[in-house]
Amino acid sequence: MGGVRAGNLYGTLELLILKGLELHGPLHGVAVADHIAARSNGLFKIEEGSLYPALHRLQGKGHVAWEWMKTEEGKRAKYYELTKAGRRALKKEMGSWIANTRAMLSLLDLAPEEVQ
Amino acid sequence: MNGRRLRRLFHLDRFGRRLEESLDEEVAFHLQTRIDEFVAAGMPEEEAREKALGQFGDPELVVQRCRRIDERSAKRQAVSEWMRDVGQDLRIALRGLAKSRGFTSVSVLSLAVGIGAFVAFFTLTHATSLRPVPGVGGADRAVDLLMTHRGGSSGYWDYPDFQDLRTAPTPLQDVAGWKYRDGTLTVREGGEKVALAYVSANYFRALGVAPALGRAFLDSEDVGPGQHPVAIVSYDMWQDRLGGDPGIIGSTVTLNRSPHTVVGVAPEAFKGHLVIREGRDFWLPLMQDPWVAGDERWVEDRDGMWLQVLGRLGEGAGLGETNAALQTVFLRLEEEHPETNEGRRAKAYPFGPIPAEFRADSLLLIGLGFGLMTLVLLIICGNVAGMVLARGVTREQEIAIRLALGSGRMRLARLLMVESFLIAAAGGGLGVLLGRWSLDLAASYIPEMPEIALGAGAPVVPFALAVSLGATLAVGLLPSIRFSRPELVSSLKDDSGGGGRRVGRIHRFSASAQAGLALTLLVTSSLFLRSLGVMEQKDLGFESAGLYTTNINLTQEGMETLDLAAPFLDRVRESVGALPGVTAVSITNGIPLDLSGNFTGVSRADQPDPAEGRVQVEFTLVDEGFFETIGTPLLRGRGFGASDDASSDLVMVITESLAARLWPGEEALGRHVWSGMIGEGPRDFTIIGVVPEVASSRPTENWPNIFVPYRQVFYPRTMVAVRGEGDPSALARGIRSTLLDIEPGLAFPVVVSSESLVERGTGNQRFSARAAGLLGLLALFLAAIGVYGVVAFAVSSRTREIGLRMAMGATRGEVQMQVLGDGVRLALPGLVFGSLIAAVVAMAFRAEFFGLSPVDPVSFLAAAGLLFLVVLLASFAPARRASGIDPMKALKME
Repeated sequence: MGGVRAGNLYGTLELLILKGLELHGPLHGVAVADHIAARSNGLFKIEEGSLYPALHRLQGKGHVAWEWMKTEEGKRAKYYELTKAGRRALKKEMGSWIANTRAMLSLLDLAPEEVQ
Repeated sequence: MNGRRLRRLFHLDRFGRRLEESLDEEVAFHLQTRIDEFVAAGMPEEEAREKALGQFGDPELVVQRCRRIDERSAKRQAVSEWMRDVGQDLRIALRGLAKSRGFTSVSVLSLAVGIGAFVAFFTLTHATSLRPVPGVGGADRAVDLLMTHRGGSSGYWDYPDFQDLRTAPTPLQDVAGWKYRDGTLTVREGGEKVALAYVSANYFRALGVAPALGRAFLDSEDVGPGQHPVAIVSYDMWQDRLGGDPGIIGSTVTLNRSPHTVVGVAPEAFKGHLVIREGRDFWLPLMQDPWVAGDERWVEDRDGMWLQVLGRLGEGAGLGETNAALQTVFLRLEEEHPETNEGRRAKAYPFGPIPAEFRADSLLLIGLGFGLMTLVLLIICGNVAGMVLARGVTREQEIAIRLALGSGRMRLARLLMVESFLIAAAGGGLGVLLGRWSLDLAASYIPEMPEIALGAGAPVVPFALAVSLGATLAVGLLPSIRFSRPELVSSLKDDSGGGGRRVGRIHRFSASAQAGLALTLLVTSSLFLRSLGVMEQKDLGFESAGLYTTNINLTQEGMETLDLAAPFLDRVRESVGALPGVTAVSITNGIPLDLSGNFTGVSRADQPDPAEGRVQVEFTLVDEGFFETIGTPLLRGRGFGASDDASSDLVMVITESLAARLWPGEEALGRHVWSGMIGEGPRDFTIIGVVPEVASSRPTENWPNIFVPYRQVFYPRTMVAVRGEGDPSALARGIRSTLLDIEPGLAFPVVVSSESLVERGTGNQRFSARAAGLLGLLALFLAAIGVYGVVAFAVSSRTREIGLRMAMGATRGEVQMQVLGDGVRLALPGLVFGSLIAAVVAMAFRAEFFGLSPVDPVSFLAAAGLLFLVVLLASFAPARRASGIDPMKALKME
């Protein structure tokens, strides 16, 4: 199996971003990209630039807020943080992802433990 | 100001640029971080940059997409913020309105009254005058054709001119004649009154109406008086009374006691082409008309005016060219028939639901009505705006706090607008209900009111909505402007504390203007009422009280000629005259205001050509008892005698004005005139008597009258006119049974009182006067509310000052007088200007006010006095309140 392009799974990128922010707290764009790459063992191949429209979309929905802060190296960077609404949205999205996945697995006649 | 706007623009601009910079910086930070990572891992700088860009994608594209997303969400946010603000405003406004229940209910109710009146009037007007006539196809090509004479216009035509126009080349595709009459339908044993229309064969074609069943009339059914007894039945009559069976085509119905074959059923939508008259039950060929069938001279006589005419324009033809063609036709007819057609013309008018001859008057009344309604609504809006202002002052602290807390002035203005909108919306909703309810009420009181399918098809709701929105603007704008300007708020503060001018200028002006508007309405309506009084007292030239008539169609009874009819008529005169209570009786063919309308011309016989100096007159064929019966005195000469018959010289009685016109300054008695009636050529008549002016058979027209003995000029349609005392129904019964005793086969005689004819004649003006009177009272009531509001507000905002004055020793009486004086001072300028406006309005409608000088002093004084009284009364309650102020409490208030 080759790499999965994030665009193939619509809305997945936003879900991944939200999850990353939940795990690590406030992150700047580079850190978000690193998180996704590390977690998927390089399986998800995204153009790092495409993170930013997703981040701005999430901001427009009120799921994330941003703030300019100094990095450990003392550089100015824009940090994104999960809002309350974002936390709720993440929970909901995860729920529906799990339900979808279950449905797909049973349609394909696979038990969850078979998948590995 | 300009500076502020520039600054704002600059600020916005800077904000936008900052956004852009921050986006660039974000992307730059990302790229730089990656490059630094790769370099730290030992990659050459150039290669590191390539790789970072490769991982990132096109930075330009990313920045662009992000910018679009940010802009969109900024917009969305602005909208949702605005909605939240409005929602908040709504809550605040609702809470505020709920708190001051008195203010809310008075303003909503008064707006509801104004809007309701507007809606009712609009619905009525729409149903009767504005919407197209139901069932008529291509109404834009239909026209009403009116005949005009030198003396003015008349809706009625003679048959020969109608025929000549039909055959003449004009842009008119169809010229159709019609005549509405009542008739009887015999079902089994009983007879019942039905509404008939006698129409030429092309009538339905001209109106674009196709029968629902069967066929329209054939051209061959349009010839030969009385020879084609066929009928087209209305859809409703067919369904409700005749069983609704399609087999009705070809069956027979008994109309006016003779069998008619049904050839068609009219479509459901078409109930006749005049909306304000009752719908028709049957249509019959014009040649079946009882007048025509009874006497063919009605189709030959160029002076027999009885027909009404409409037409249909050919494809693409306009009114202008049609009228030009009509002019040509009638000029030719004038040349061919100089003795009758001199000065006779015809004119085409756009087809409409109101008969063309009333249309100008109706449109004037409608315009006047809309004007009055708008005035009333303006008064109401002024009141409500005044109250909003007054409330604003008592809410001044709340407003100051809101401003201090950073509510924008726009926001504050919006809050006031939302409040006004709530009031107007509630008023509008209630108004629509009120309008419908009042129409229902009116319909139950006025039997002749047309049936109005309320709401159905009428754009009433959008109309009410538009009016309500207009009211919102009118009510909300002024206070909004005022309170969003801080200097005015602070000046109001000064008003309440100090003793200077008590009420703001705008406020005083609006109250004053209301008084003026109310006065205008009052004067107008009192002029209407007075002119109606004058009209009712107008000398009609005869005595309508105690006068009764019943028609007899001698043709139907087989007495077409004088020889056959004379013995019968003599017996009628004798027997009816012997009835108890009967003081006079006459055989005639008409009385004033009965709409019969027989016309001819007269000219002096001392010149050879009868057409020269011809005057169009209305003629009546009477007997010796006529003038006594209708109650008209003889001025000079003698009346008719039983000896004025076919064997003696032709004689005539004329009215005073005609005498003066034919022989100015000379005695008319003993002179000779040319005249011919009912298709006969001019003959020589001797004037034997002169009577004062007598009203015409048509209430809206003024024709000179001539009277001729029926024993010399006979016509088989006649009526018995009776003057009697005592119970009208007993008299009617007596007349009826006497007639049936003499002639058992007589068509059932219907006795009509002359007073009902007079009433019908003045009905229109009576209605206007009532409507205007009602509006005037309404205006008075509203002006009272307005003045009350202003004075009450003045008192409440001066509580402290009044308390101070009372503490200094002013008596209650002094305080009361001062407040009352305030009210009067408030209304005075309005009274003066209102009188001026009313005078101008009255001048403009001079023609409507019969026999009154437009600046009728009684009307003006009465209206001004009434208004003054109401102002005093309206100020009285606040004055009492002011004098009851406790000085200690008032001073401690702040």
